[in-house]
Amino acid sequence: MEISEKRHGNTVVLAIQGSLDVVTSPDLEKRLVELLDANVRDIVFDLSRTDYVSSAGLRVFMLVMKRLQKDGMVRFCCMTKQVRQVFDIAGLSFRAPILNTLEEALK
Amino acid sequence: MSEITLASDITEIRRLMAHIAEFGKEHGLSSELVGAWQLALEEVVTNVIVHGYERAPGHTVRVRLACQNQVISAEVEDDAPAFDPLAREDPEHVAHEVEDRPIGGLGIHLVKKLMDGVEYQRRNDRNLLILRKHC
Repeated sequence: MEISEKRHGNTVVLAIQGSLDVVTSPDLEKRLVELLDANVRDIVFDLSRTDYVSSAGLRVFMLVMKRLQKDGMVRFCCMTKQVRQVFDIAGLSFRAPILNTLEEALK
Repeated sequence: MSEITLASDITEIRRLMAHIAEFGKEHGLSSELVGAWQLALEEVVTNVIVHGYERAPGHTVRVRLACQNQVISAEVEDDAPAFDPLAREDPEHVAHEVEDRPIGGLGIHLVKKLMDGVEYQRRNDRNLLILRKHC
């Protein structure tokens, strides 16, 4: 799993490439905690190249959603069908905006 | 029948993922189906290593995969203390309680939704979880 990071104004876009599983999710969590501690409050997850998310990955997303619930924003974009299915089953699809393109997510 | 024996170490999940991908290739399974099996077995084996063995080294988890009559089945066997992961209540309204729900509960929820059948047995002092899904 690789994370690439881009800034658009105050928004941080995290593009995750590869598998977000029980082995790799702690790396994402570590980076997110650093960003939150650095006062980042607006995060877009670009999942166009994320081919697999397990509950370990969902847990990290849930943590950041919870942390930003009151004073921030989390959005997801460009999910593959498989990742979308996992979000749907876990009930996460109702908890944060899911956009089809990065452009829409940055609007 | 294809069998893999994993050590009680979370990084072994990698070897399990590769093993399932290989099994999928051998049996001509779709990438969706391979993904579903990888997800379900990651959840189940992680559960055994983290909760069953409490991450203690020196134990093993055996996973047997088979494809017969359009049904794929997997048996996950461990020697941790008796534990039925299916016994916990299945949250009906997942979205409403997502924040505070224990993560173990989420994993097994995914497994139940992705598989056509999941069954727990305690046999010869070992836990056996049997998962089934149509091809």
